[in-house]
Amino acid sequence: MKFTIKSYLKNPYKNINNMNVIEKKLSQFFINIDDHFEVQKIKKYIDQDYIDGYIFLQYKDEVILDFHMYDLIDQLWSYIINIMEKYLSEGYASSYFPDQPIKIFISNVKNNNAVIELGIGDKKFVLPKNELFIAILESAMHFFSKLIELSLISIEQYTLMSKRIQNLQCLINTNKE
Amino acid sequence: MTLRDGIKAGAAFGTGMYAQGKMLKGLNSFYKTTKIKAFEFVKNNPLLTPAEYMATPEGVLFKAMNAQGNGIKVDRFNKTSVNKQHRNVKANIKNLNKFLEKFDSEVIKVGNKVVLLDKKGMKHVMERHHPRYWNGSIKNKQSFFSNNIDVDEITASIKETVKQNREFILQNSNPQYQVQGVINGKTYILGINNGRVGQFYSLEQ
Repeated sequence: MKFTIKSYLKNPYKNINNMNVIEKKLSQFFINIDDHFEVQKIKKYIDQDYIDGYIFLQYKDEVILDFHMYDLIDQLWSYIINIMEKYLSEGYASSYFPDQPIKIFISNVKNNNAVIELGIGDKKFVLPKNELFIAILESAMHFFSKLIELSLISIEQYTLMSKRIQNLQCLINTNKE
Repeated sequence: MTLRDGIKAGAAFGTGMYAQGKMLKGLNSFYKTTKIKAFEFVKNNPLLTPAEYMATPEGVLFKAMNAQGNGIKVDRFNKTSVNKQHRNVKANIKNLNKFLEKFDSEVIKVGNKVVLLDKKGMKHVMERHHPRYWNGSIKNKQSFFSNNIDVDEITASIKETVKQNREFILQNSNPQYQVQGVINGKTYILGINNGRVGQFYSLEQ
């Protein structure tokens, strides 16, 4: 896979009041959602309505999203699914990060159906459409499965979200054929 | 020693043991509660210093408990570093708590749906984006309301944003979504999370 996507939860014990400090002590501030042992330690202190964290998104050697853009991660994943749905029906979709004015958009690229333009804040990336969407949907599903495992979302929310992700996966597979 | 003395001594011993057992059980529960309270306090007031915590009634109890070698170590509280900037932040947190005591939840009706602006939602909006109530947390692009904006104006702006997006909210079936509102020429982003106001911020930084 050319894409690497991972989700990290913010340690609720750690307040971020200086962005420069985070990089040196990244593992103290953020925990990979797959790190079962560490996640269990912080789980009960996480506020279900405000789950901070970040999505790490890398294409080949290029980092597209990382801890610099940490935000309310469950909502960010939901907004990404929202804009993917809208993009697939309208060819363009945008949103803002949940708690900060960073714009995220997906749009078509002229005369090239195989790629899309992904805009995040001031940066723009041209990326292979199907590969990106498949990777995003797989990672989103993984993220929400972890949230339900940790009882950080309700079963209803999880069921609805997994249905939406599966629908998108079907749509992308149909478009591929 | 008569039989009577023996019975008396036995009864006294039995009563003593029973009373001690009750007392130890009570103390154990007392220690446990103090420990839980200490954790809750740290969670709710991450920016306060250990010294400030110790000044609270819970802190005094915790100190006493710790001195006896029970419970968690005081060092745990040193994890939260406090710098100059936080002096203002501490005052902001106090102001916010005061303000929230008086704040009543608002139910915003949108046709057959409702959007709830509750205390928790309002707390988040204020502590993240209002300069006078800011909790010091930083994100990549930190957005603030103007310093003189009043709480009623924020509530009114949230209601106005909901009103401007009435049709979208009625048709939308996603539990987590955003809408935009333009109020007095400024654009605001409203995040709705499972029917409640989760975030509200200005697009201008």
